[in-house]
Amino acid sequence: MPKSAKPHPGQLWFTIFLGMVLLCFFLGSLGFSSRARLTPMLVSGFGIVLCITEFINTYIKLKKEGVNGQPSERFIKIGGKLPQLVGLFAVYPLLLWMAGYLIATFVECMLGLMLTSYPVKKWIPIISAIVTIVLYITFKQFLLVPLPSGLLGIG
Amino acid sequence: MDMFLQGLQMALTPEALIVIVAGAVVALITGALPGMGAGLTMALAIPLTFYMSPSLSLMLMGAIYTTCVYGGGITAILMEVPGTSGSAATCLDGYPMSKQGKAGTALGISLSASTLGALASTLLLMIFANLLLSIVLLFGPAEYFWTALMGLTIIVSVSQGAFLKGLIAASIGFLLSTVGMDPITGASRYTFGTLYLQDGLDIIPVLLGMFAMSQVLNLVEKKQATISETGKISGSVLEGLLAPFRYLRTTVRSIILGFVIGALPGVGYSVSNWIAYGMAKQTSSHPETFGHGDPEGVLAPEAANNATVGGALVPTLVLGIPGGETTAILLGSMLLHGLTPGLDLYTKNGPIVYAFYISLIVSSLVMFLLGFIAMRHVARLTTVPLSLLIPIIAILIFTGAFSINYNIMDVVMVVVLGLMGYGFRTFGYPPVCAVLAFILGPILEKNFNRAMILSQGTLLGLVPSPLSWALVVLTIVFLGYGIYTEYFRAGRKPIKD
Repeated sequence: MPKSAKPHPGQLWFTIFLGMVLLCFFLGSLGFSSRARLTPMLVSGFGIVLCITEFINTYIKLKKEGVNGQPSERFIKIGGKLPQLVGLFAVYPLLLWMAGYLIATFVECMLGLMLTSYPVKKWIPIISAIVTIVLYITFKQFLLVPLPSGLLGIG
Repeated sequence: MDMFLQGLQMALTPEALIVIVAGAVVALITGALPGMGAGLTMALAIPLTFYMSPSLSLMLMGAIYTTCVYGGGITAILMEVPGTSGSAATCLDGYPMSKQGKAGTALGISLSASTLGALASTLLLMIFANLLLSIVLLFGPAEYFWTALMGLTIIVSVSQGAFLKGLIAASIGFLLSTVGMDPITGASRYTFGTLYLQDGLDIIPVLLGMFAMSQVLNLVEKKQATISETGKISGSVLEGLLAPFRYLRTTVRSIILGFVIGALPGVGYSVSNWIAYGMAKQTSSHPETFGHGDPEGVLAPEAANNATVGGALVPTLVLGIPGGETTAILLGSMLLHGLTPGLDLYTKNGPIVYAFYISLIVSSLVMFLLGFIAMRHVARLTTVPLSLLIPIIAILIFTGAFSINYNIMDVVMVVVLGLMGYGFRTFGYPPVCAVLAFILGPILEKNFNRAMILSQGTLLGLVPSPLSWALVVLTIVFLGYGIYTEYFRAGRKPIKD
């Protein structure tokens, strides 16, 4: 068995998640014609076997070496601002579609700066406005990208 | 010769020079910012290259790649914080030199050694790429299939301590590449009836998500408010600039070492700088001074890390096998412009390749000038708060992703793949394996099918020549090496580029 760093229980869950993704690919490939399904079926099947092996490896290692009493520093940090920021990033495409580029970017930048605790609070709206305008001019005017104007038609 | 002259014309236009200088300026700053580096900067630049000609796009990427590697040395010397993993060994003697009041000398050594390393490796790239090209002439579908498989195997094998995880990540990347229309039958795969997935996943959202977005999420984890505190510069810069010529043997050895290591897929500048440092120490008549501010301790890693750039480009341009994250991104940008690596690249787009070579030389010279002028100011930029960088980089990634196809779904893909990439990084799955499999997947599948059609369905069609047998053996050797290091050898650390 590989002798690498001590595992974290989260690794087991992530392996299960990847295994599920691969299983979805495998099941999906069953619906293709015999020629088209060869590669995805082989690769996903191979991946599932690897995931099971990795799961067993990690599980044995966890049983053998035990989990640290304290969660590692890394995982304490993940519990902090990361989920909120991920949520913010996940909402951006929706905001982009609904409110358009100008509003979505301004709001995203402002909330992002607030979530990451930018030290000078009064500068947050100003920085957000500058970032939005600079990006808008660069992409819309110079690169001629039709940035989304949203349902409100702004931008 | 005609191609070279055409390339020269392309590389020396005012437009090209502006692109190179702009790329170098940005890369000098981002290279010095720990956590950003060449990969993230190049990924962020890809959407901009979409609006450029293929030659300008390659020149921009080359300028960023070369200069970023150098920029990492500035903060390594002044603050003991390497901007990129390629400058980690520079800290060992660079920072003690700064503490001794010789920061200017150390920065001069770094600048001069990096420039020489970049220039020499570009010349070596020109020579060795042409040599390797004569072998590629013998390639058929089976050989391309085995070369792509070998490239993938090497990357997975050198992800030491994560062999299984590397294979799993590669499986995911490969499967992502199968989304869309099947190249042979034309059947739709995993499209869920949507038009967006019909043409398959675009490489840009995959690169931006897996590399850039996941890196931004990693930055969120960093504890410190700013990357570092500013340092002071003292000591003679000129003395440092001349040092590589005073220690010529160390310079030449480090450049050759960097180039060779760079040419090995999966082993980038993060390894070459340490090996060059170790070699310089071992062969020195005064090894005891290493670690206490020895100029050779700065010279060796800095020459080697920039020499790695040229080496890494050999398999990328000739075989289409990127050795790591940065070359994978470069390859992605090439594919975006319809530039397929290999023989086609040199025969159909020869002038562009030569323009790229020349631009690398120009980039090295621009890097030298910029570094000389700006080294004092770049160090101050590392005091920019991370809380400012994170949202701005994220928005830049989203805007860049949207600007490729004007489709919000690409932004959604960046978020989804960014999360997956972050999970990969957090739990030790090398994201580079997934991205490489995504790039090499279609090459593997297409050439496998072609070889099978040519051989009328017999598996022997995969080994029609001695060259293909040699590639099979090499693939098995690399796979065996991966299994050996994973299960039978202890005390390894994962290699990251």
